[in-house]
Amino acid sequence: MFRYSYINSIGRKEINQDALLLQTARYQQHEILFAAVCDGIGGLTGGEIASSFVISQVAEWFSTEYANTLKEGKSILAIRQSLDDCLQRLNSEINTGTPNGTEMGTTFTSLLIDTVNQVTLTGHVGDTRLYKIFPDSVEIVTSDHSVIAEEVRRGIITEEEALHDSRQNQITNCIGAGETDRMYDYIIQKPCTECTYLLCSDGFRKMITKEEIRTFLSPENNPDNDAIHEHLSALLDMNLQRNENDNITALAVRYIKESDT
Amino acid sequence: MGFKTVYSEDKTFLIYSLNKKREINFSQLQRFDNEGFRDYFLPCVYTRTTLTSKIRFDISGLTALSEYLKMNLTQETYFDVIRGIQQIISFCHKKSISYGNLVCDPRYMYYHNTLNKILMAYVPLKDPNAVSDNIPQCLIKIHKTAKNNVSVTDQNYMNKYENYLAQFSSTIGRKDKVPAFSPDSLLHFFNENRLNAGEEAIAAGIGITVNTIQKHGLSIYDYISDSSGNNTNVVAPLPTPPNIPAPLSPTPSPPPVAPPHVTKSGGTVVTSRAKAYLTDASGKRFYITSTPFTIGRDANNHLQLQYETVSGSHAKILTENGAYYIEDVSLNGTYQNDYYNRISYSRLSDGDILYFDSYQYQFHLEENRPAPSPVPEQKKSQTLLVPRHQQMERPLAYITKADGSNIPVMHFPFQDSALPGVVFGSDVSSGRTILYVQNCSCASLLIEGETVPVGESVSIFSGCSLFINGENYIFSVEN
Repeated sequence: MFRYSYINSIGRKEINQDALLLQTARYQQHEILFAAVCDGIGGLTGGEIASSFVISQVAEWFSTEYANTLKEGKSILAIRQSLDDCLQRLNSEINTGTPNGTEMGTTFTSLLIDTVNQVTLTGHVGDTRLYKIFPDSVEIVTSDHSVIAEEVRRGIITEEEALHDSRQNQITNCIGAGETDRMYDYIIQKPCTECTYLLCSDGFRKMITKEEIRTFLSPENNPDNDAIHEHLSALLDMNLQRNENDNITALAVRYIKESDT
Repeated sequence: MGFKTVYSEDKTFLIYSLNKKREINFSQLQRFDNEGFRDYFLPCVYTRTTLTSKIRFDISGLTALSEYLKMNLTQETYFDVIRGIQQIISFCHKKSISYGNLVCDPRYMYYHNTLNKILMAYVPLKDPNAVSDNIPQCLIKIHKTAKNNVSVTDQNYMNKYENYLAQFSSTIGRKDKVPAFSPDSLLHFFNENRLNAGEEAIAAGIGITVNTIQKHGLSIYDYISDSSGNNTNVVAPLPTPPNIPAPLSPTPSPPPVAPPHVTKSGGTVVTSRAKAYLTDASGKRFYITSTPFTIGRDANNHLQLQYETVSGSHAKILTENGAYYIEDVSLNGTYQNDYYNRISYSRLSDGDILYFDSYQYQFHLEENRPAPSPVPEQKKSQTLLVPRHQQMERPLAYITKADGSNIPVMHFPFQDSALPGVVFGSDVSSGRTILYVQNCSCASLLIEGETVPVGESVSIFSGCSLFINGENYIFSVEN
């Protein structure tokens, strides 16, 4: 079973371009969770249209196409392909359905905890992130598609320099924004009961450290929905006190085996 | 309106003569050299003699909108014009300058054939409504001129636009009944309506998909729940639909709207992989990762030049139809290839020398990536021979070892001595790049836990895990 909560704040911006989704479903006595966070990109209102469009469409994917893969007993690789087909279609629809196709786009990071196949599938593009928070460590599951992260990977700048780099808002990949023939990341892992999953937009994590995230969201401190919400809210307040200007969105999930409860 | 067109040597100017009652707003005039005004407004010069006081707009090479609209236009082109006007109005609002001094007359509005955009004259006067106060009437006039020349592909969209205009036309001449014009009402129209949107995919995304999920969601699941945990089939997309100010609000006070292509602080921008860069005298590279790529003294520029004689915003590098252009927005000038060749807007070529005031940089353009060469029919089954990018300095992908170290993939097909018997390749199908791994002679190769026998190849994806000769790796693409 799952424990979860989320926060979403417009912050100091005029428009909230973040969007999130959190769904659970039960199939043959197995509870399944699907969660996603998007951070819209673009001037005017394009970013929020793109992010909420993608969220609403992947919600439909979860309730229809993914559900069919379960019914048909498909493998996780087939499920990944199905999600990729969905995201590529959304990319195309945003690009062709926009008066100026380059004006709107969105990042996307999702987490599917498929307890039927005992597997998790992470879909990812942009600089929204998935973390796994353990009692003693924090793992960033996704790789940022950003100019800074790319330069770190290439050894041009160090991770320390990246923290203070002025190009924090420049990303290299997203859904929409006129981008074509793009590849998105998919990470397949075993479900983890020893960690807290955290999905967040960049506005949630730029002003706080990994250690602060671990302190508040360590699994042993978050046994239920209320505790998760309280700790996410504390981190939100911390961001606001440190003058984070961006929209702030975070969603945390714990997967607890029913035999453990 | 007090305008006349003057030809002088090889230049054409639109001249606005100020009468004695009109006072120039000098602080506004000074702003015109920066803050992006040249993206929207005609360059202007104020001159005053003992007898006359004039503002001169340079319209050389531009086409009057009244003439442009007489050409055969596609519906997209026509609405690009209208959207251009909307962007200028929004820009005025954003910069807190009165659009009552915009010259809203198609005879004195101009179309830039190279940039494919509208430029308007703005008269910087102290009286904020000295020139024009009726943008809707201008839009109606434009529509009347263009209507018969536009090839309509989406009649529904055209009808909606005409309905939008009709709100204003019914009350023309009755000033007490004229609805207030909100600078965002046009924006609202464009956000609400999508030209040739097919199934209106984007519009559908604005709403919550409760009905869709109700229709499909329960047939397989026992239940599907929202974030509150209740047994219901409601999803929780946030935020709620965009809070766009209603059009024609009686007391319009819409929030400031960012001009297009300007990202507010904290916002995210997408950058494509840089194909161009500047180098300084030492050879240090400054990649043009996004456009407009701004150069100037201020810290918010992409390339900051901390010299007194460099303007806060000095120049911009822009892209149009795949070509790079340099635009000067400075006081002391930008020069191309020759220190005496001051430019205002010029196309860039590989190797061009640029001087920002006197500070020299060189522009470099990486050659375009060649399209994948056709694969000979007999080799298609091997799917090995499609070099994706023949000239590329940056890794296309990484193969990351369990210890975190990376093997950069600089080209496809790719082999590495640390991964004997394994070839990574790429192919193109329906316009999309497909990546695969082929087991040529590797004793043990697994992709996501599934064995790949010798002689076979399987498609791979960014983020997938590989198990090669007893070692774990992650394959990730650098888009």
